[in-house]
Amino acid sequence: MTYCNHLDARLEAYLAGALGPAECEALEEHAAECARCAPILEERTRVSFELARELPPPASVRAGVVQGLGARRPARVTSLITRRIVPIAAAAAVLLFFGVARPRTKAAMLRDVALTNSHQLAVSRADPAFATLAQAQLELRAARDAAAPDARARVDQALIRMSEQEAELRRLIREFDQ
Amino acid sequence: MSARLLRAARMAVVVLLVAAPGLLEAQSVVQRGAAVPEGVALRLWIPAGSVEVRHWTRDSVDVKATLAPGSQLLGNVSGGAGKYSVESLSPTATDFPRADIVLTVPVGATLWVKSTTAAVSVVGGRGQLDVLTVTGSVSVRNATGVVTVESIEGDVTLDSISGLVRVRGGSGAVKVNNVTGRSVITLVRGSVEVNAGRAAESVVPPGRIETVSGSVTVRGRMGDEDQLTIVTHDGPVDVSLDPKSIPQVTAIDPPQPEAFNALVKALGAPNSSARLVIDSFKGTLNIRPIGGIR
Repeated sequence: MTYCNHLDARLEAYLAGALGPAECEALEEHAAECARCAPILEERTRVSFELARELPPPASVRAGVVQGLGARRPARVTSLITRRIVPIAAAAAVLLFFGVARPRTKAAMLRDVALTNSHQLAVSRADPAFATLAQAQLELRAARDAAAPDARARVDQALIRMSEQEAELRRLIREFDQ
Repeated sequence: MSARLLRAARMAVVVLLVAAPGLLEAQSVVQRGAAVPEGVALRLWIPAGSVEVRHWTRDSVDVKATLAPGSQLLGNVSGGAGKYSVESLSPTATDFPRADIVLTVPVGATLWVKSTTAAVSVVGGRGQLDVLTVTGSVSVRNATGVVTVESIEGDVTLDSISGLVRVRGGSGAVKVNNVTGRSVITLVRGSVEVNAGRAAESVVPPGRIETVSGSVTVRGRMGDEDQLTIVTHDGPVDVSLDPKSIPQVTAIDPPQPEAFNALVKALGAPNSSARLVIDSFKGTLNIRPIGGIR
C-alpha cells in the first residue's frame, strides 16, 4: 500500500512529464502488477489522450509542416530521405501506433503546448479535476458491484452527477476555444 | 567638435537606436467613455492582468486600461450593449494579452467577464453578473442579483451578496460570506467555506453544496424553513451551527453511522424547521454547535 500512496502522490507529475526516467519506470512497473493502481493509470492516461485530441497542433508545428511540404530538396538528399529516413520514420510510427511510446512522452507533449493559448491552458488546468472525477467514478463502480440493489440507485445517482460535472467542465473548456 | 565628442555623439545615437523599440513598447494607458442606458449589457474579455469593476449611479460607462506592451483594447459600446476585449497587437504573439482595467458601469448593468488568468474584482451592482475564468481569482462583494462564477482553477470569494449565487468549477477554493438568498456551489476538487454574516439575523444561505474531493465547511445559523444539502464523495464535511436554531439533520448512509448519530445527538434536539441533508460516500462528517458541545 505504501507504493500505492506514492503513485497517488506522483500521478500528476507523471502525466505532466515531470518525473525522471527511473521514477517513471518504477511507477509503471508497480502499476503493471498492482490491481488497484493499474486501472487508475489506464483511466488517467485515457482521459489525457481524449483531452489531447481536442488540442489543435501548435502553430509552430503547423508552420513547420507547411514549410516542409513546400521545400524543394536536391535529388541526393531526397534519395537519402527515401532510402533511409522514411523507413525509420515509418517503423517509429508503427511503434507509436501500437503504444510502445510511453504515456509520459505524450503527456509531456501535452504540457509543452499547454500554455500557448487560453483553450490549451484551460485543458491543462482542468486535468486534475478530470483525474479526481475518474478516480471517484472507479471507486463508485467498484462499490456498485458490491452493493445491495437498493444501494445501487444511490451510487448510480452519484455516477450521473459526476458525468454531468465532466460535461460541465468540458463545456467550460470549450468557452475558451477561440 | 573634438573627436571625443563625436565618438560620444555616435554612441548616443547607437544607444537610442537600440533602446527605441523598448521605449516604444512601454505600457500605455487608454481611457474611453460612453453614455449608456442603466441596464446596459457589457461583455469584457481580458486574458491576463486584472479587472476591477465599479458601479456608479450615472448613465455612462468608463473604461481605463493600462495595457502591457504588445496589447491593445478593442471594442466599444453602442446603444444598450457593448463589448471590450484585450488583444495582442501581433497575431504571432505567444504571451497572453495583458492589461489592468478599471471598468465603471451603471449599477443596473448586466456584465459578462471572461478571463484566462486575470484577477476579477467586482464591487456593487444589482444587474446580472457572469464571470468565467481559468486560473484568475474572482472576488465579488456588495452585489445584488444573480451572480454566476465558473472557474476551472481560480479561487472565488463572494462577500455580502443578496440574491442567487452560483459557482461551478474544478479546483479553486470557494469562500462565501454573508450571502442572503440562495447558493448553489458545484466543484470537483475545490474546497468550500460558507459563513453566515456577523449580524445577528444573518443565516447560512440555503441551497446545495457539492464537491467531489474538496472539503466543505459551513458555519452559522440556518434560517427557519431553509434547507441546505451537502454532497461529497470523499471530501470532509464540517458544520458548525448556532445552537439557537438546530435544524433537522439527515445523513444519507453515512460512512460511520454510530459516530455521526452521536454527533447529531450531542447537537441537541431540532428547534427549527430548517433541514440539513448530508450525503457523503466516504468523507468524514463533523457537526457541532458553535461554541462546542453543550
